[in-house]
Parts: sequence; C-alpha cells; structure tokens
Amino acid sequence: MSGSTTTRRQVALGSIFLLILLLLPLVVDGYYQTMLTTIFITALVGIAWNLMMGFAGQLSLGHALYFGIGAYVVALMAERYGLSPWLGFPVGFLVTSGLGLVVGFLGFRFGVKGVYFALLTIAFAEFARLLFEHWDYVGKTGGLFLGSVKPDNRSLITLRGSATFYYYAVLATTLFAWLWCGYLVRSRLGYFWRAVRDDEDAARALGVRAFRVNLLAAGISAGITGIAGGWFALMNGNLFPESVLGMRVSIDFIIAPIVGGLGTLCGPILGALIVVPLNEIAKEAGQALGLNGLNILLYGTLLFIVIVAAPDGCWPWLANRLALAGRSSSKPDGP
Amino acid sequence: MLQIESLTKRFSGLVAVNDVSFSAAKGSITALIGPNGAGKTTCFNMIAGATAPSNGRVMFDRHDITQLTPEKRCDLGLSRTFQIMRPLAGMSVLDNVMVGALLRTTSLSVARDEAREILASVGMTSAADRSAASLTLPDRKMLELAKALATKPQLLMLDEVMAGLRAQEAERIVAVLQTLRASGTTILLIEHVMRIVMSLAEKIIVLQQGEKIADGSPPDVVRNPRVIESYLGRKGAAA
Repeated sequence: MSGSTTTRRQVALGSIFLLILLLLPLVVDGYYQTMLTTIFITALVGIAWNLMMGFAGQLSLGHALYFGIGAYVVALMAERYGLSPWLGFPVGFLVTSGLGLVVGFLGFRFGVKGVYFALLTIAFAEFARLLFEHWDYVGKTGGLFLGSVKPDNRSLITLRGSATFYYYAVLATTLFAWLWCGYLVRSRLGYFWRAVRDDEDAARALGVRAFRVNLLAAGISAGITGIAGGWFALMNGNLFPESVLGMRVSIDFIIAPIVGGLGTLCGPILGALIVVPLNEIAKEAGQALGLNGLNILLYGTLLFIVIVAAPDGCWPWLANRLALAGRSSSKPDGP
Repeated sequence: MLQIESLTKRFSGLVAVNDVSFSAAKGSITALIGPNGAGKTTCFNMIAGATAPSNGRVMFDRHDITQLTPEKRCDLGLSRTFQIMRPLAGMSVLDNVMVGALLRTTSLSVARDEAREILASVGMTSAADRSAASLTLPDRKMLELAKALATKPQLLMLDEVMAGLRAQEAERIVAVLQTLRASGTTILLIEHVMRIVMSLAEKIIVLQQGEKIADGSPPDVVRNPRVIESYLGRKGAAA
C-alpha cells in the first residue's frame, strides 16, 4: 500500500509549510504579520469549533461566548490585578471549558439536539453579551482597555509585545492545539466522537457513553476557544462586548472551517488562509468604493461557491490534488 | 440469562406490548416471531434500553436492568442490531467495528486486530477499508452483526438480520450463530424466515397484537392452533 509514502508526503509538505510560516516575519512587515496572526487566531478557533461540529457532530453557533469570556478573563487579570497572562491563560481555559461543559450538560442531559442545541448556544452567548454590556466591572459597552506596553516590557513575562511576538506566540499556540486535536481525533475518544456524530443511538448501542463523550468535546472545544480569545485580547488591547461576544463573532469564526472542510484537521487552517485575507480585501474595497457590507456579500458568495464546487470543503479537494489523501475518499478524517 | 417480566409498552392509548413475560436460557437461541406490528421490535427496544417500558422488568444475569441506559447494558454484555441498519456512515467498515471493540479495550491496535478477525468471520475482509455508507444491503446486515459481535456480548439480540439475504449469505450468518452458541453466547432473534427459525431456535415466542400467544419448543409452537390461525397459516403449519 502507498500508506507510508502518503504519510511521508504529508510530513514533508507540512514541514515546508511550517518552515515558511517561521521565516515569513523576516520578509513581511508588521501589518502583514498582524493579519497573519489574525489568520492563526481564526484557524485556532476553527480547529476548536470543528472538534465539536466536524468530529462530534454538535452545531454550536455561540462560540463567541468562549472567545469573549477567554478574552475578558485574560485581560481583566492582567489589567485589574497585574497578573501575568501565564496565569490568565490557564484560568481562562478552565473558566471557558467549564462554561462549555455547562452549556453541553444542559443540552445533552435534556436531549436538546441539532438546531435546538444551536439555539441554546446562541442564547448563552447573547446572554453573556448583554450581561457584559451592562456590567460596570468590565466597562459596559464602553469596553475594556489594556494599558500600553511599558518600555521595559519583557514579552516572555507579560506576553505582550510587538507584532512579531504575537505572530510567533499565536503560531505556537495554534500548532500545539492542532497537534492536540490531531492526537484526540485519532484516539479512542476520537472514534467515539465520530460514532456519536454519525448516529448517536447506534453508538450507544455499541456501548459508547454518548453523554460523557459529547461533554468532553464541548469542554475541550470551549477551552481552546477561550485561549484564542485571550491572545486576541492581548494583541488588540481593547475589548468590547459586541466585538468579542457578539453574534457576528460566532458566525465569522465558523465560516473558515466550513470553507476549509468540516471534520478535517487542516480544513480550518486552509479556510482561515482564504477567508481572513478575503475579508480584509473586501473591507478595504468596501471603504474605497463607499459600499458598506461588501465583505458580508463576499462571504455569502464565497460560501455559495464552496457549497456548489466543493461541498466537503476546500481541504479534501486540495489534499487530493497534492496526493495527500489516504487510499480512498471514504476517510474524511485524514489530516 | 435473560428474564422478561410483564413487560408493557403503551404509546398514548395504543398498547404495543401487553404484559409479555419470557426467559432465555444461557447458551440458547430464542426466536421472537409474529406478524408485522405484533410488538417484536418494541419488545427488543425495551430489552436493549432504547425505549423505556410503561410497566414490567428486564432481568439480565439476575440483575434488574430496567432503568439502565443502552450503553450501560451493552457494557454488561447485552448487544443488539437494528432492524433498519444503522451503519456509522462517515466511517470505514473497519472503524465501525472498531468502535464496538473499543468498549473492551483502550488499545487501538488490539481493537483493530479484533475488528479484522470479526470481519473475517462474517466474510467481509475485502470490504474493511470501504466507507460504511457505500455498502450493499447484505453487507450492511453483516456489518450490523459484526459491530454487535465486537462488543463481546453474552446476550446477542438480532433484529431480522437475515431478512432480504440470499440463501448463501443467510447460511453464513447461521454458521456464525451456531459457533457463538457453542461458545456459550445467548442469542435472542426476531426473524421471519421460518426455515431458519425452526432449524436454529431451541425456543420460540410468538407475539400477536402485543400479546404473547405461544411460548415453547419449535415443534410445540407450530402445532399450537392459535399460532396456526393467526400467523403461520395452514401452509406454514405443513412446512
């Protein structure tokens, strides 16, 4: 079988891709580095969301909840209490994965499935947004601002710094999350996730503890999303309920994994590489032409094209072209 | 091994299963037969935990399992197939069987080896890497059986696994079931193919309109006037 040659090609092309990303800041300026970091954050949330949707089969339309709470936790701990994000990130992870477990518990315990589960996730995210918009402690709609970076700042302690610092830090986080998720979906738990995704009752008849397995997906997905939110907070320096907890955030984040390919590990990364630059271009074009909302129109068009041309997403299509796919198209779970 | 005590299921007014009791001895094959709509599958679902009974108890290995979830029952050694086949359509045939095998082991390689063995025993080795969604009807039936076997059941419940199969394929399943029985597995099956029921089962339960009308050895049951009247017909009785 050509299995091992395929694996070697995967490793080789993956290493080249990573090497390019590592060297890129040497040739591109801060503007592009920041845009690339946004791509990484989008990919990171996409990987997390896809774990729930693509592998465990739970549609969440409220991932802004975890992104926003993760962002606020890291920012508040740094700004109000002067605590290093080294502490903020673990706390953010625990808080958001805890929230994921709560939302998941309510959904799975009471058999809220499919569209109704999606509505539940929206409700929680919107509730959090409204709460934050009226809560003095977090600055209400006026937002929360991080103080400017001090001259004697040491990035490895404050986790704040230049565009280049965020670039490498978020790249490392995304790589770590990607490897972790890759490990998980290939593990015993990953088999159970896919079984529950395909047919929950049939999976339970095979002894799969669907409730626990579903909860794990929700908790891990939420926690990773919270970490992504934390990086967004540090990089951006300002947070508004609408900009991190809003409905629009939830929607924006799921476009990339859908365009890239549901249930694939590389799909969210490819999707982010397509969607984020397109969004930037459309925004600028929109401003230049005085056409507000051009980027939304482009999003819609892009989704339409992908659904018609590559219903499984761009990654399975590209993987076939690069001869990276396994033996047959029957395995949408390849890397 | 399995004991059903006055199992009853009411669906808002309709009594699908009414006060049915029977038992299945360890290492035996028991068949559940009856016309369409007799309540066989409902009965099955209550034993497997997919449907909660309105009344009655399910005893498995002398434990009351009436309140347990389907996955817990599977863990205890009670495995079932679905009449309407439910392959895990996004996964390969081998992965489907591995999910069952992973109930008893945490090692993927052990589960993979076991799954390959089981696929070989039902004659599906060549289909292992295919998508479960691409299988033909007989292969889907075989996959249902293979998945259930992978969980290493003490009680195997088969809901019409042989319906729609060619004689040769049905023979293959019969051979697998005989091997299982010889190794001490208890089997409960719903089946319409009377030739197979008569040759395999030690005991036959006949349901009609939710009620048990006969319970006994195959020769006794086919001589039972109520069974002839309602289910087999004169032609079936002659067979």
